[in-house]
Amino acid sequence: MKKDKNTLAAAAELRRRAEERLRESKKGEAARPGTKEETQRLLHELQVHQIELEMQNEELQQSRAEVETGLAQYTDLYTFAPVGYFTLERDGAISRVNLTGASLLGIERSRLMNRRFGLFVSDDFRPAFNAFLKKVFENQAKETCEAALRTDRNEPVWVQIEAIASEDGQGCRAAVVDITERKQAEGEIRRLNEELERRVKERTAQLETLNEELEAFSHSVSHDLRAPLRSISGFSQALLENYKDRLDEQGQHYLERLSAASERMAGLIDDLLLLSHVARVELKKSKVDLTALARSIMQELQKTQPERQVEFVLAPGLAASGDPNLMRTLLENLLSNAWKFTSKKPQARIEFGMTYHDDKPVFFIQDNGAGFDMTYADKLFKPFQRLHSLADFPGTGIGLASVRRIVHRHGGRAWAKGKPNEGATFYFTI
Amino acid sequence: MEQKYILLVEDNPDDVELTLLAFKKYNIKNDLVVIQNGAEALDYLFAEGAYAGRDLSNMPTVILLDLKLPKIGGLEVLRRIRADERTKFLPVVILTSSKEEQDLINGYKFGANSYVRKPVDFAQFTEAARQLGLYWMILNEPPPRKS
Repeated sequence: MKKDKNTLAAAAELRRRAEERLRESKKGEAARPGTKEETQRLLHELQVHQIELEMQNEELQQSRAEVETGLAQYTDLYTFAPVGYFTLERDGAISRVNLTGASLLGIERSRLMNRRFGLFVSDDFRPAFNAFLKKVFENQAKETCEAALRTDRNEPVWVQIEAIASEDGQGCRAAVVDITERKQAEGEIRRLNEELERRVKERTAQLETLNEELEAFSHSVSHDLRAPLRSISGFSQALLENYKDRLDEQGQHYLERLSAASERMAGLIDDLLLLSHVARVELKKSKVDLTALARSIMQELQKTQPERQVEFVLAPGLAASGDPNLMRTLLENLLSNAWKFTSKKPQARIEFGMTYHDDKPVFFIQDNGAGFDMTYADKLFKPFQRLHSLADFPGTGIGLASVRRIVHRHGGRAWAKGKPNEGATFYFTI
Repeated sequence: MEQKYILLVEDNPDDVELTLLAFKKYNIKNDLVVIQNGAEALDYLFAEGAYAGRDLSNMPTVILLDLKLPKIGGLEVLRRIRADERTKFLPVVILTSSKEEQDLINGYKFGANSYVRKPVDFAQFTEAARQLGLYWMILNEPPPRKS
């Protein structure tokens, strides 16, 4: 116990009041003399009593100090908390607020007392805030809302309010957090998304225009390139037939070369058109019976060369989800390739089946024909790239490029394995 | 008795000559009337313009019609042929280079009797001409002439 001036003054005051109280309680009592023994005993009692009191006083002082320390800590925690704490009454009047809360509202704490919180919410949000307050007192559970505060700055201040009613329902405790930055980030994200949407729309429109232009191009190619080709071929042929006697062997040979070249060009145009058709036609997916499709294609191939004996192994029940026309083109290309490249094998064998790679279904068409050198495998699916000479096998080199395009449009992959003269296997996933 | 003849509506002079060659090769002796644009073809059929006064009872046995024509296109010519009482039953064979499916659809939609793609290869071309001539001029029964 510090014996400073205050303590002494307080002690003097305490004594004065004690004396007065004693006087009050002893009113009407006569003064009593006592024996010396009695007086001694009383004195002793009093002395003990005084010490007891002093000890109690000390304890009390200590408790009080502890309480004050505790109070200071909690006040500190409350006042300087990183969120705004408000105690609100049923009508939203502020009965208590911490420093953070006051600075959020931008007003001194003392001037906030008993003012309604709703006043500080921006006009747009006030009805929502009032509804929120009502819900807090109705529900007795924690409620959350977001609101914009009134501010004289240009940028709004956004807050998140979490409130719960007190047990007696006469007030509620609210934590108010500044979420302005979060809101701004959200706004930015929204703006970016809108910008992205706009760009996607623009790009789509551009693609559509491009597609239309491609279609117009294909159409004109269809008409315009063919006509002169026909003239070249036609008149060469007419020359050959009607003026044969006036041409020597060399001349006839040149004309034959002319005809052959224009026929090749016609094939190229057809293939190009097919490739562009495959690329731009609209995909209409449905369940396609690949087994039936393959069977019908093989029958057509057999009709083109009825004398050929080809063993065709076809797995039953092969099906996939895809555009039926494109599926047909895909199988036609692969099967007619197999047919073509087994043409020099006396015992040709073509198989169409399904296997599994990494648990995923993979279709394959295998033949025992001319095969190819794996060194050049990457050229296989490129347009107009061929791994065999025209003299060995005819073709423009578009078939596999079409296959790859169709497979890619369906989200799948195509690849091949082969060995010269030991056949080839073409795999694809759909 | 009126002579059967073919009306060929074709603007490409090379194709005209090749067609003539083809018919000659296979001895299709019928006369060939060649008109090189759509508007003129209609004038001929309806005896208007430069062909005013033509005998309307003397209609072609078959019309070979190209789709790509200057002034009025092949499909429009076909539409007008089918729209007029005097010509609506005349057999029309579309003879064109186009492989476009839309042209095929439109050809039939507008009432063509047949659609033949002109092959680039001359041998095939002459074979097609021969078959056309054989079928439409000899085998097919034309619509009866109106009196």
